[in-house]
Amino acid sequence: MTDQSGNHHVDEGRKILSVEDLHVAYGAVKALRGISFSVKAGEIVTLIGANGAGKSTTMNCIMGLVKCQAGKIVFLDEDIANMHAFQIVRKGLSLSPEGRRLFLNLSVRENLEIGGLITLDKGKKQELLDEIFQLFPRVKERLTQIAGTLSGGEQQMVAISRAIMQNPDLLLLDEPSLGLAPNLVQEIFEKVQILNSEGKTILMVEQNAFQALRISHRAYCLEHGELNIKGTGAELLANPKIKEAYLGG
Amino acid sequence: MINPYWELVIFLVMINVIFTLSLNLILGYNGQFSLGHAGFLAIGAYGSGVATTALGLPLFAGVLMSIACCIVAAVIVGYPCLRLGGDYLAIATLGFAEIIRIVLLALPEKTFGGATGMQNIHNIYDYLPVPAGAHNGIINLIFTIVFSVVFLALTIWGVFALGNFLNGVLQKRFGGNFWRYIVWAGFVVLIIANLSGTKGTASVSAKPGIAGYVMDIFQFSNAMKQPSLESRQWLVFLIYGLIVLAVNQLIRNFLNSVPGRGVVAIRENEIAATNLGINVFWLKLQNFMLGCAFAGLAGALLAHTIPLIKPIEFGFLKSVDVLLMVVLGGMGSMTGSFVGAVSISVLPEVLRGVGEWRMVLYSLVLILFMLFKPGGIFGTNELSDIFRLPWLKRGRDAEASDA
Amino acid sequence: MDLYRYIEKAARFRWWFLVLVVLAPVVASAAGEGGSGFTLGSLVENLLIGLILGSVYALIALGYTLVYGVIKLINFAHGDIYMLGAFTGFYLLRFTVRWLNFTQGISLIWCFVISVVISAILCAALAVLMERLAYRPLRKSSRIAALITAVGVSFLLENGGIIAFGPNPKSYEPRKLEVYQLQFAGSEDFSNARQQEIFDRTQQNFQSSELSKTPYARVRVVSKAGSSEWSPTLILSMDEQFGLEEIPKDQIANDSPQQLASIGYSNDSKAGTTTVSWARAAVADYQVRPIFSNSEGEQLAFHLPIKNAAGDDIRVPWFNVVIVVVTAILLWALNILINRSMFGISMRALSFDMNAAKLMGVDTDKVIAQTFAIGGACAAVAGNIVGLYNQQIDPLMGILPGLKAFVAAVVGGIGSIPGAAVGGLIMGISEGLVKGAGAGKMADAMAFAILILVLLFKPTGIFGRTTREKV
Repeated sequence: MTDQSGNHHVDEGRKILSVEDLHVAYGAVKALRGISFSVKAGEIVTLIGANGAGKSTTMNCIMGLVKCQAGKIVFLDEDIANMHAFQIVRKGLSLSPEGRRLFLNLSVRENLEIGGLITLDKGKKQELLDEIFQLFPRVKERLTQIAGTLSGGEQQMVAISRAIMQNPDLLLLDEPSLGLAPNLVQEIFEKVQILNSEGKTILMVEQNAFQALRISHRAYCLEHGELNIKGTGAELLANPKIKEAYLGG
Repeated sequence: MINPYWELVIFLVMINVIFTLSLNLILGYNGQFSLGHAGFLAIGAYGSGVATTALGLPLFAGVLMSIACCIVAAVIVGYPCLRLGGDYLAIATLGFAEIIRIVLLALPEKTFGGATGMQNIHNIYDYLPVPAGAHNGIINLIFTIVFSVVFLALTIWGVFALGNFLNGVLQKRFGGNFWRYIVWAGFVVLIIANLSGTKGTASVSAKPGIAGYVMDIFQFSNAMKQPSLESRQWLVFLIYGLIVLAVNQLIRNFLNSVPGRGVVAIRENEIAATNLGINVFWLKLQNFMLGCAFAGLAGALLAHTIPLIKPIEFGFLKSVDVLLMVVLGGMGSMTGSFVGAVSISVLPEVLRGVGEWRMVLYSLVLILFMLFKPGGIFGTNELSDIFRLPWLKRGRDAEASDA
Repeated sequence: MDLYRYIEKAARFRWWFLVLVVLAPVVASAAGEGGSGFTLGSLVENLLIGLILGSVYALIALGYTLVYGVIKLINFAHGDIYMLGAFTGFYLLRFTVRWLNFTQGISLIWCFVISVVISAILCAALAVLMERLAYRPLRKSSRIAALITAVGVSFLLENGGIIAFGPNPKSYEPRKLEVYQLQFAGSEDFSNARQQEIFDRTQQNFQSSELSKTPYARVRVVSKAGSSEWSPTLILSMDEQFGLEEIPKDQIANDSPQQLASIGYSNDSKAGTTTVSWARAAVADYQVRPIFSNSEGEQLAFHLPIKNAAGDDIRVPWFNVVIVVVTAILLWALNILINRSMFGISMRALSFDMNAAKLMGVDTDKVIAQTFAIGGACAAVAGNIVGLYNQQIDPLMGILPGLKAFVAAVVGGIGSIPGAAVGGLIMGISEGLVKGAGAGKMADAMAFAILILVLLFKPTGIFGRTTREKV
């Protein structure tokens, strides 16, 4: 899947991630009770759901931060369930975690550099950096600043940039709009759409259902650890249940 | 009559229980790691030792002085370290214990004994009430025990009443429940004061303790003679047992009070505790002071129990010993402290044949316990959580039905 | 007036601590036995001693500061790794001196370098093993559990060391290196004799039954400079319990480089063994010389134009200069590594947020193991240096320097390498000065007093940055 320059090639429309019957429990508490979904190349797929529905658990489980009790996570024909996180990242998945989780003690440049840790090729790194600077001009301005001194929106940009630096086949975004002002939320979703149009496949978890569903190709709704409603973004926007529960009537 | 060797072992077990409880209060209930607890034991031992020999004070004053010294030391160590999160307290107390040891070695040998230790501290037997007259033994034994129990019960009741009264008055004045455990501490001191006379020297005749005076008032002493060795031994066991129980009760009461719950809350989550309106630093310091005060009490008892105290006995090894007792029994369990203290104190007697491998075994036990059963034998459970005896269960059920 | 507030307010008034800071050195020097204060010479001399101590503390502090920076654990066992470094270095130096210097003629400096490198590798491996077995299983449990385990590991290493190496100090003092060549034969002409070599006065047991067939024995001292003459023949008779051949003074070969004065053996009929040993052998010129010495066996040193208390110029051995330079180079290289390399960035990222670092593809277990390895190697270097500097090591030597090095790490600012260096120097120099003032006993107490003062006034240390704890 990876050529010498570190580029990944994935055919358009091919299933790159499929999750089958995933079970996760924290001790006696069952967080996920057998969810199945898939992501095809070139799509934006969104998981929506209430607090505690298991959205972030799904993401963390895909990335190997949480162990799953049963089920399969197949990424590019390989079962990655219960691998170490750093191995999964090297397979071409990358997660921008909930709450951004930047390394606030490092500078922005170092944050990006550590994102590029698994991209060994120097030319490729520069290419990705240029891409990021084009997408987020603000990041370039702040390059030497310590990440802890950035504003929330800028931190989110750096977090997404850091994930892009890993040059993933599938980009996982956990709550990219968390704690941001409405105009910034708008901006972030626009950037996500631009990223997608440039060919990135994106799996997103979002509380801001309206914005997320508008830009996503397909979406799933998680409730109490189960996937109940699925369909295209537009279908879910029109679904009366979703309207009532997540879009405020 | 128990032979002197096992007598000493039993005394040491009891002292170790107090010492372990005091560390458990800091480490188990508050989650602060004190790695130089032996330093406070040393302060306690030397405090009381010097007060009773060089200053010629009675026993209870010596014990009080030990406790006061320990509290002052606790403030000096705790104030800078407890403000900071993290493990600074561990390293600072470790250093502090080392300082204490070095300073004790450097202090004047005439009073403090230097490296060879203090030998002239009066033993606890010297302080037992000394009645005059000459009469038969069995009555004397029964009388001594009954009298002590009755007298102690009266004292306890009096302290209870006085404590409640003081608490009521002082609560209005100062607020909070702070005075409550000062009063409790006073109660422990009174028990000791009960029995503390001063040892006679060539120039000064022996003075009986309060109990002795009371006996004289009631003219009981005419019906008594010098108690037999056996009865004296039982009396000392009784005193030590009562002190252990009193300390146990004090700590239990403290932990069930509002500040006590705050202490446990700090262990669970310091930030959440702050958000509950607890002055985290101040409460941690109070708790540290309290724990060190009990360590001082243990030290004072130690000084009057063993024939010789040396600075080298209060080294790092002693700190690790008590740490092991707390960890083995269970951090945050009173029952665990008892079990840990008893087993680790008796273990050396059992492991006598192992020789130099004993210390290696100790450290292996410590590591393995942390790896496989980090909570210790009891975890944070008490005996009453495990064996649900009817009379122990009642209080809990009542609480549950209230809620 | 609220009682709590009152006490707190009184405690916040910290002038008396400042007074303590000023008074401490004065008290220390006054406490010295007949302390007459410092002259310039004694000041410089003690400063130099402090510099050496400081370099050693800095090297040990490095391990503390890196490990604490990464997994927030005070690795109490670090001081004992330093002790093990000293011991492995000690035995390796014996080994290399015997096998490389004595028999191959490789210079002593290289022997020292080889033993330092090997002991650093061994200690790094040990540190990694320790992390793997004792600390990794506890990564997810409470910090107190990890801390208690660290105390346990430290205790285990100390007591294990006492059992393995014996409780008594081992001395580096120059020793005579001797190789004896023994020949046993059935007849006095030693035509097809069996040959045996014994080193360093270690005695060797032989089966009596074996020796009874070859009762004629003779011995000589050998070395790369040449061998001595064969001794007069000794006839081993198994009936006698003890046999000795005194070599008459006039028979001692004057031209050979070694002189054999007497040989002997003892016979244990119960065990059926014979112990061959030598009573006297004058081999003065095969003493192990101090490392960095001239051909006469004197330590290389230069003199400063300042008179010390005894009225001589202050003598500075080159070895001390090497210590300081090596330490400085190591610290500088590690500082570069932490600040510039990808490893350093991963390490700092890991210390901030372990899960996020995993998501970046950092193999956290590996980075932590590497951190332990670096710390262990530096501690081993420090152990080797101290062993040679003090000429003496013992199994409990790691406790106090370990603690002081941790204090140094705190003083400098934990997690920072320049901090470790500066903290180490502060600790070392203050110790040197206090000892110089004649209050040697108080030097240890001084270190912890400094710790408490630093925690009061600048808890983050000199190079430390204030960090907020995450909610």
